[in-house]
Amino acid sequence: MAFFERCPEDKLPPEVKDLLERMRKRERVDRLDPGFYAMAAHPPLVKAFIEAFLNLIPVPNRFGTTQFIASMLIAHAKGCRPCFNTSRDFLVKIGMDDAELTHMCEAPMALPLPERERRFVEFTLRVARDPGGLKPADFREMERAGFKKDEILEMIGVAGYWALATTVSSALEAGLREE
Amino acid sequence: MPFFDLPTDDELTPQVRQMFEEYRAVAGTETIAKTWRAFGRSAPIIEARFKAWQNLNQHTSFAWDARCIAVMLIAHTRRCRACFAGARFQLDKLGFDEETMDAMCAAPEALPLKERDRLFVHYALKIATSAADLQPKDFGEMAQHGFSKAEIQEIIGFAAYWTMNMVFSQAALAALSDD
Repeated sequence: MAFFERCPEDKLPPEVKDLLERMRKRERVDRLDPGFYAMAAHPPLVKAFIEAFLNLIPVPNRFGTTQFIASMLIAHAKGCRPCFNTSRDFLVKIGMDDAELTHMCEAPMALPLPERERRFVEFTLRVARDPGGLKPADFREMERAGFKKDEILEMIGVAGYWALATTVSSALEAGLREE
Repeated sequence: MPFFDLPTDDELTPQVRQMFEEYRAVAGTETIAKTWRAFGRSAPIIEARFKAWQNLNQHTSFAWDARCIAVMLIAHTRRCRACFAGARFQLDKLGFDEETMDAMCAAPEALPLKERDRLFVHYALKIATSAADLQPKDFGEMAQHGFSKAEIQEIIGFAAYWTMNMVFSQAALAALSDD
């Protein structure tokens, strides 16, 4: 038996129900990942999680679907299965080749992407994986490559969101797994 | 010259200014930390961080000293200088001396705390640093130690908040350093 329970739709607290509805519309799905229904037992967690998502992964998104390559690689690096599966499934759904995605996970520093997109993914992945290793020169280099400061802020935001999401999702996934 | 600058209050949107005011009032600080102010031009980042801080760091039943110790240890493991210094500043105010704090960092499994507080720190650190390694049995163990399911989700949220916050703080410190 799993440790956490999934709250049934008709038992969701009203504030949580509204937030999940916003998330469902945004994701264009009928049913969200099981983790959301487990989180419903603790509304502050749902609130923080969804507010972070809506603020840090905005739509429309200037980085387009490349965003999902970044999230797949961050999830892969952090070993978060739910985030990895969600990102990868989306990329497959929009027509990306499965073998190519596997290759990206194996060699995230040699991505077969146009220069700007490659730099976006590499920098965001780096901020998410090792923010303590960032140097002032890394920001200058991004600027020289043509990125504006507000774009760099957005990349840090993406990395920050996935730090939160991979921690919460990994933990809830373990608590939802059958023993 | 640093890559990021610190926007003055006049440069902030009313929404960001209000969140900074609320943060300052609740945290009891006179100024906004530069690791927050550096993102002042990005309302989405401030909103995501502020709401996560309210919901996951403030909305908790765990003891203040145990929370500060947990932050110090997570920051120590993740090499986040800003959060490490902030946590030690708070612990110093509570009467912990440097030697005691250094000993906690050197031996986080032997903290001189009440059992419940020690376990809170232990699990918060574990979730923040290796969420992907959690197993279903870890939750059963937490429950056996007396933590309710809601409290376990509180610990997950707390750990996730600090994981995210450290991404922002470390990125800000690097971008605010001189080349």
